[in-house]
Amino acid sequence: MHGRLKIKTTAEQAAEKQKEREGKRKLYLGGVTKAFEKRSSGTHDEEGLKITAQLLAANPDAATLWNFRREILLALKGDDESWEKLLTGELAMVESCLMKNHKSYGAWHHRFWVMMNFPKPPWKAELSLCDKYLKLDERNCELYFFLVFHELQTVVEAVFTDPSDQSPWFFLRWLVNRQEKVPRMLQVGYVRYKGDSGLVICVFSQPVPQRAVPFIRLNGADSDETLIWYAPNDEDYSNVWVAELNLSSVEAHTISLIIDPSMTEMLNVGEGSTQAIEWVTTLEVGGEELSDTARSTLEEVKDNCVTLDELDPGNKWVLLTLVDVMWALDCHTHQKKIHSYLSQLQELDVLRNKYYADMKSKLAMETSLKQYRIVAEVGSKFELSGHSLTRITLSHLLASTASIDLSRNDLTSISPLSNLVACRKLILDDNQIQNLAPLAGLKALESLSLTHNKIQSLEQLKVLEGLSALTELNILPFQSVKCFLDVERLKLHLHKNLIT
Amino acid sequence: MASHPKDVVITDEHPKTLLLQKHADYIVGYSKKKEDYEFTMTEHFRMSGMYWGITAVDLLSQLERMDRSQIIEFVLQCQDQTRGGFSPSLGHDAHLLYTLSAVQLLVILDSIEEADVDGVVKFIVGLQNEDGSFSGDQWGEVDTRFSFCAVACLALLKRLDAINTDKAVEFVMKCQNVDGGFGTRPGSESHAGQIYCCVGLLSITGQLHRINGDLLGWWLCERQLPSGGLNGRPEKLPDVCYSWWVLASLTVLGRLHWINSSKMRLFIMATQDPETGGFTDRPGDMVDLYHTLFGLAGLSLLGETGLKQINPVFCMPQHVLDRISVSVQIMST
Repeated sequence: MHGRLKIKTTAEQAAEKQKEREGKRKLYLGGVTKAFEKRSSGTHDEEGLKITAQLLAANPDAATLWNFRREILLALKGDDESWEKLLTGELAMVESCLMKNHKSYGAWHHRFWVMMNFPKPPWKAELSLCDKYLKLDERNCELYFFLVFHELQTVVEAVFTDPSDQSPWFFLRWLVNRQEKVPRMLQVGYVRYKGDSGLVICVFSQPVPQRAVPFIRLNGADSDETLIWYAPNDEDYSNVWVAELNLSSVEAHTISLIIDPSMTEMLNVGEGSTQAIEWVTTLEVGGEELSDTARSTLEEVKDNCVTLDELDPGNKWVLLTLVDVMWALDCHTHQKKIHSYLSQLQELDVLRNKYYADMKSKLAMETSLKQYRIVAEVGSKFELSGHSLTRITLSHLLASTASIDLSRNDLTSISPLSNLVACRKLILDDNQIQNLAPLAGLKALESLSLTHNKIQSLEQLKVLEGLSALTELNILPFQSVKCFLDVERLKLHLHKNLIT
Repeated sequence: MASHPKDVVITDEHPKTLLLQKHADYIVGYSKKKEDYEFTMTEHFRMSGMYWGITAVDLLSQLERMDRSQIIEFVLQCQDQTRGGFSPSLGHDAHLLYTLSAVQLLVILDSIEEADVDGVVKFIVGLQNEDGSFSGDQWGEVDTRFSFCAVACLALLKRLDAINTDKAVEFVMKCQNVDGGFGTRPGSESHAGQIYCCVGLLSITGQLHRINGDLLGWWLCERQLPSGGLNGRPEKLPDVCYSWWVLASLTVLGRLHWINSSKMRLFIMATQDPETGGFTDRPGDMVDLYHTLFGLAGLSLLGETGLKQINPVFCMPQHVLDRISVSVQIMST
C-alpha cells in the first residue's frame, strides 16, 4: 500500500500485466479456499503449513492465516525435541515473510509467539535478527533512549557529537518541559461579588478532579450546607474549583480547610472584607525546582550552545536548545534573550511560525506572573497589554485577581479566561475576539471592555446575560454603555451603532 | 531552510484543487471491481476498506450511491456468533481492528441495533488484560492501537462502563515517551499513528489533562517537511496518511494552527491522481482507499469547502456523532 510508484505503461504492457495478475489472483484465491476448507474440516497437517506459508509469503498481513498456522502447529506438537524442530522451521518461515515486508505486524507477532513457545528460546540468534531489521529501519529511538540517556552528562556529549541527530534534542526538550508529578494546592480564597454572596476558590498547580478539593469547615463547625464545587471550564479535571458560599458581611468568619487529618489551613474573612486570599504555598510557575546537578549541567549546555551559535549562527536546533535551557534555568532573567531566539526561529523556520508565537506568549505570561506574584497586593491588578499575545496560559494563577488588562494583543480564543472567577474589571480592547462564551460564568464581573474586537452582532453578547454584577460594558470604539445586561435593554442602547 | 534529505518536491504539474467527483467515482467504482487482483489481495482487511470508502464517500456527500443494504448485510454476516467480534471478511477471524470498522460502518449507516451489541461488548471486555492493555484477539498481540479500538467501539455503543477505563488509561500512559509521544507498548518509539490512538483514547475518557500539550504539540508540528507534507517519525518520508494522524491529534490538542495549513493543503492536493481519482501516499504513487479517506479527512480538518466536517477522534462524519450524541474532549487553549 505504501510507496508503490505509479509507472506509465503502454496498452500492451497493461494487458500483459493484467494477465499476469489474473493468474496470481487465481492462485492466491485457490490457496485461500483450500486453507479455509481444511480449517473448517478441522484438518491440521503439513500440507496446511505449506499452503499457508505460500499465501503468507505473498500477503504477510493476512492475520487469519497466521491464526490457522498456529492452530496447526499446536495440533502437531509432539515431544520437546520435535516441537523445537518445528518451531525452528517456523522462525525461518517468518524470516522469509519479513523479507517481503519487514514491518508486517502479523509476521512479528507470530515470531514472538514462536519464541514464547520454545522450551528454551534461542534469544541470541533472535537479537541479531532484530539488529538486522533495526538497521533496515535506519534508526530506533527506543534503543537509543535506553542506551544513551541515563545520565544528563551523556546528553550534553550526545548533543555535541552529532548535532544533526535530532534524538538528544527531544530528550532535552522533555527535560526542561517536564511537569511536577504531584499537584499542589497553590491558593485558596473567599471573594464577595454582591452583598453577602461570595465564592470560595481553590487553585491547584495541575488539573485535579473535584474529589481533590479539601473538606471545608466554617467558623469551627461543620457547615450546615454542603458546598457544591464546580470547575469554571466545566471539565472533570481543572486547576480551579469554585463553590458558592454566602457569608454575612457584618461579621467576621473563619474558613478552615482540612487538607488531611493532620493539616488544616485557616482563611479569615473580616467584617465587610471583600476578598480574603491565602497562598497555601509559594508559587512556582515553572514546576519543580532544579537540582544542583541539573542546574550546573544546564548551565554548561547553555554556555556551549552560546558558543555554537556564535560559530554557526542560525542553527535551529541550537536556538531551540537555548530557548529551553534558559527557560528552565530562569525565564525571568533570560526573558529578552529567549524572546530574541524565538524571533530568530520564527524567521528561520517559517512553517512553525505560529508555534513560536505561542511560545512567546507563554514566555510573556510566565515572566509577568512571576513579577506579579512578587509585588502584588492581594486582589490587585494584573496587566499584560501590548505584548502580541496569541494565547493565554496559566490563567488559573489569576483566579483571585480583581482587575485584569489584556488589551492590545492578538488574542482570538479566550477560553482560559473562564478561570477569572474573582475578576471585577476586565479589559480586552484591541484583540481578535469573537466568542465570549468563556466569560459567561464570571459572576464578579462589573466592568468589561471589548472595544476593537470582532463583535459584530448582539447575538455574540447574549452569553453575558447571566452576569448580574455587570454594570459597564464597552463594546464599540468610542462607545461606552452602562447597562444591566438585559439583552432587550442592550438593544435599545446599541441598535443604532453596533455593527462595525 | 535548505532542502530536506527526505522529502518530495511538489511541482506545477500536480493537482492544486480538490477533484471531488473523481474521488467519489473512484470509491464507488472500487466496490464494483470484485474480480480485481487488488480486491482479492485486500480481502484480509475488507471491513476496514469498506469503512474507509463509506466514510470518504459520506464526506463527499455521495453516500446514496453506495448499496446500503448490501453493506449492512455483509457486515452483519461477519459478526462471530460465539465470540461476538467482527472479522474482516467471511471465513476470517474476528479481531478488534475489524470490530471497530464494523461498528463505525453500522453507526454511520444507522443500523447498529441490527448487530448483536451485547456480543460485541462481551468480545471487547474479554480482550482487556490485567495491566489495562488490550489484545487484538485471543492470540495475545498487545498494542495501543487495540486500546483505542476497544474504547472507541464502546464509546460508540455507549457501553464504556463495561471495561476498566482507569486501567486502560494507565496502560496508555505507560506507553508515553520522553518526547511526549506514544508507542505501541511501554518503551516503544513514538509514532504519529500510535499518538493518534492514545490521544483519542484520552479524549474519549476525558483524560487529556495528562498530556503536556506544548511538548507533544511541538513533536507533532515538527513532522511537517518543507514540501508541506507530514512524516510519522523524525527523518522519515512524508505520507498523506499523516495528514490525518498528525492533524487529528493536533486538533484534539487545540494546536492545529502550529502547522502551516496552506502548505499542508498543497501537499495533500498533490497526492490526488487526476486519472483514476483517489489519493496516494506521496505524489506519483498508486492510489488506494486508505489514503483516499485520510487525504479527504485531513482536508476536512483544514476546513476545505465541499467536504463534510470530520470528527478528529472517531474519524467519522461529525453529523453521525451528533446524531448519536457522542462527544469528545478537545484541549482548550
